[in-house]
Amino acid sequence: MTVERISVIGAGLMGHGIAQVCAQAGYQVVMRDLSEELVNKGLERIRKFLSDGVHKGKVSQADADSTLGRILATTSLEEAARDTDLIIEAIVEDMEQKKQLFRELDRLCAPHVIFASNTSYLSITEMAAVTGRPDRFIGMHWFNPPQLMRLIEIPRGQDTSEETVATIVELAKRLGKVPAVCSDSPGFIVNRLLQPFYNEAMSLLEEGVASAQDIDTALKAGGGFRMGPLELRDFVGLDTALRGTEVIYNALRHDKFKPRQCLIRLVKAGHYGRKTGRGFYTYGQE
Amino acid sequence: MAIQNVLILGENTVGRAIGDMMSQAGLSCEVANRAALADQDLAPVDLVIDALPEPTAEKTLSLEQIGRRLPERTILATLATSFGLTGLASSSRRPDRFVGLHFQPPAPDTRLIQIVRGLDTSETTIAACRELVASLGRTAIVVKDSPGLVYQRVTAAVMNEAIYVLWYGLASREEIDSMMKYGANFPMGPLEMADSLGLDVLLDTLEELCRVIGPEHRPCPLLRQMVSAGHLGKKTGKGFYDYS
Repeated sequence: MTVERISVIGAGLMGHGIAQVCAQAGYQVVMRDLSEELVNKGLERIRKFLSDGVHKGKVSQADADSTLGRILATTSLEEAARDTDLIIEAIVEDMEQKKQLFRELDRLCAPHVIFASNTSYLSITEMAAVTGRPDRFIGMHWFNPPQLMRLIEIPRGQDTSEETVATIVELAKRLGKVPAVCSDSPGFIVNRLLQPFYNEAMSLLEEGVASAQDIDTALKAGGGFRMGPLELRDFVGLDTALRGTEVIYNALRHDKFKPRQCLIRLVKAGHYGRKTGRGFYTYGQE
Repeated sequence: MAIQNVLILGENTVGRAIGDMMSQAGLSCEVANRAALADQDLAPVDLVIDALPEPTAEKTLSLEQIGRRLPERTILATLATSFGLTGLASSSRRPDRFVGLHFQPPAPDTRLIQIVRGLDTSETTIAACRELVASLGRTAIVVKDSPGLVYQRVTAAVMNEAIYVLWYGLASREEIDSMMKYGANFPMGPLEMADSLGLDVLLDTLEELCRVIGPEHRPCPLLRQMVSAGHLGKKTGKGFYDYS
């Protein structure tokens, strides 16, 4: 199947970027969120990203205009479900809300429409099971920011068909991204492999082997990592970090994934990293 | 104490590479064999770096002999990366002036030098080593004597998990590597990284981590099999990828 029209549900941090990438690649896109305010905020972010690109000479004014012209913003789920080939869901990471959304979409969408979830760690198979189209249900996990990160992780659910996988792989390539297919398992691949990266760094800190700064420096100077594990956790937010780690640990139940005490303590203290000014590091008042 | 005069023990590739690094930075540096040590005038030497292979009974004995002959102020350093620096420090009879130095490969293009603190290494010794690394124009971090130090431990844990993911069949080797490069900004995929490091080296690191730190470092059975088969990565032409 060839995808021609795409509907992105959710205009937030990930949703607006996904809609932009699809529109920039020439697709007709519907971007839907719950209120006018949320939809406009998403559109505003896209406009800003594109006008920055124009100023930097990375995008022509004509391309920026036509990209915006291909995005229809709406608060109506019916409008997003109508005349589309693919739904990309990018709402909050909450299984019940996602299931509820997919149940509705399953009623509203034509049978050929593929459902893709941008979840970072929730089960694709579990979401697919509430619809009548588990073979046309798949994961499409984008990375932040979607405009710049090249990977799209594609977890296939238990019943996802080969045709659906092939369609999404092909689409990812046409969007200029690198697709990588994997099984539907907790944390998929990237977040699963990042757990030991973060956890070992935290264990080293707890064992007093080295300071936070020295641990990060070791990875950057020693191996060319762009950011160290601890500054990365602070950057993402320790509350978010802990929630993700708990999901993977609860599913896989192995000590290597177990949230480390230093992370739990910081979160209990309300030190969430950059956004609160304190985490593994202390940040100046900006 | 500023380190000016360095003696490197071990006329091997690593020893010579480190010697070049020191000489280029304007330090007075000599690379010598252990056999030639008897004829050396050790009085001017500020730092001896033992670049002999990993710890053996023979190495312990030689450190004891060297330690006895060195001037009071001289720092004795070893390149040993595995856990056990404190034991060597004790046999050198100068545990406060004993330190580990780990030059991140490939020397002499090393950017990172991990200064390893034994249980009894003094602050003065650490400070002198920090100064030395700064004069070499390299980045120093200070770490406690612990298996795998920092860099090797963090990366070994990721490589091991990547091998588990491959073993479970959750994704192909190419997909695993491209996921970490393009989704997590890794400089190299974990399986490529393992092949470059050497799968035998990775297995040794994980075994030691498993023994000293805990079972969360248990090496993946697939890694054991690869090592048993003699597929050690780039150096043998075959690892997770084929290099022939």
